[in-house]
Amino acid sequence: MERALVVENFTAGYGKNAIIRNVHLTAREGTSTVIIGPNGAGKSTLLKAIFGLITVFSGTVTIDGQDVTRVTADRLVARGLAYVPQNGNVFPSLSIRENLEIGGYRQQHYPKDRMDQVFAIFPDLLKAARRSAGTLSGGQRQMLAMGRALMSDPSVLLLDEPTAGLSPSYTKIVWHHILAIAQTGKAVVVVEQNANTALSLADRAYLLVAGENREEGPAGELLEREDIGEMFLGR
Amino acid sequence: MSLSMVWLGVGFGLITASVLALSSVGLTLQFGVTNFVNFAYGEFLTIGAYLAFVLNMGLHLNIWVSMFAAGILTAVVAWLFNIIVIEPFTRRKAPMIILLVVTIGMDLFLMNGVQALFGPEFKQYNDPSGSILHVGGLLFTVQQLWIIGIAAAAMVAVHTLLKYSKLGKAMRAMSDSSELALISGIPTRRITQYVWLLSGFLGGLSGVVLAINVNNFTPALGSEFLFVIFAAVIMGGIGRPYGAMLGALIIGVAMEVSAMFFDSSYKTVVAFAILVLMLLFRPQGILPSRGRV
Repeated sequence: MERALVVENFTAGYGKNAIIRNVHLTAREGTSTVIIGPNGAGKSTLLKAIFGLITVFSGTVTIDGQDVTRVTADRLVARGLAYVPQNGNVFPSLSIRENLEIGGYRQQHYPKDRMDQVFAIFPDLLKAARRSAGTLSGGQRQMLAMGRALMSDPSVLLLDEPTAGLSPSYTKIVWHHILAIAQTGKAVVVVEQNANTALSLADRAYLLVAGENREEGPAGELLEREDIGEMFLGR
Repeated sequence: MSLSMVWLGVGFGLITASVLALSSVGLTLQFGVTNFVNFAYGEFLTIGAYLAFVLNMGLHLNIWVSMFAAGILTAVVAWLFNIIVIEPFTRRKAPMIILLVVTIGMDLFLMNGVQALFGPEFKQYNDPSGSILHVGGLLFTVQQLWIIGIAAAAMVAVHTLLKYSKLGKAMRAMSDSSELALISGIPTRRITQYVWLLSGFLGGLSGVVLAINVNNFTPALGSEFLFVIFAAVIMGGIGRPYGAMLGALIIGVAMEVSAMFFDSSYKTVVAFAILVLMLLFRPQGILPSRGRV
């Protein structure tokens, strides 16, 4: 499997304050990678920094071997990176179909075949395609947000806490979709608060603590580790 | 209260509403995407009116050709206004209050600039007013029917743009969330520039039809009309073009019907009264809440 996303010696933050320091992360094609850690560990900040939304002080980000460090967010979409923020991740006054069209904005024409593929992954969206996104439930919004991100046909999909605030049954559904997306060959990187679920389902995991890498490895192995279980998984 | 006078007022109201619809949609589109009120917007109307004056009286172009050309030139002025004056502040993420003060300052600067160039005296187009026509019991000059037709065509064009074009959908997306639009791959800076062009074009057209409608005008043309534009924009819900169209219709008709019964100099007071009442009781506008642009 090729390395789709490689982050090395990455230091970033707000203003002059570094929130994450010398972080590294690799996500491979066709796999799901989860980032876990306590509150304030810098998990969401890492995704924002990779996506060019906050100041990067040092380090590099490469996608499919191309250096994209400090490339602006709108251009990163064309370079194969997509990002779904935790909150405010749909356009509420636009219909579901229009939200998806916006996801494909960088394409020359609205990609009809991409939309069909997204509707195949999320059939519930097709049923309500003309409905305004503002009327959707939290779980439905999450589906739409992932669908919108997939419209640009990214190599790497970054998801910031996609199950936050969802019921356990919706959390399962969202993870089912995350794994299905990874199986299409994309590298999916997920920041998750619900570490037990994430480690039991994802392929690989990184543990961030206080803005730095603490542990990494196959997700299942980290789930089995007693020290990690006691300190971070509430066992 | 005579019904025929009310009906006559409705006729005049349609013309005022047409002028108002062009300008209020232009202002609200820009607000929807950039999220701050441009107090210098009235000067786009004034600049449009004076550019058409130059083309019409100086180059002897037909008034409608002059109007269209003035609209395009005003669009360029608005685009430059954004790049030269506004962007240096938005790039530094200046607070909204700073942008408001900047646009108020630019309003005064531009109005005085026009006065320095053209003088304070009244100007008038070379514009034969044409015959008077009866339409559904209402009286209109040919010019006034042109004004209504131009406004209606512009509103259809704006609707088509927003609803069906890639650019329009990007504008609506930015109006919902500029950051999410950027994350989705929309070149937000470029779309903002298109919005300023469109806003300036509509402002320029509106200035010319306003000047035609009032017959003669001074450099205070736009700034005097600005609060009437605000009334229509607020009535329709700030940042919402369809609301601004409806707001323009209601304010325009209310102003002209009131002028049938009171001194016409009070009709602006009617617009202000509606503005204050809206802000007090329904600041989100008359349409149900559903996002902006």
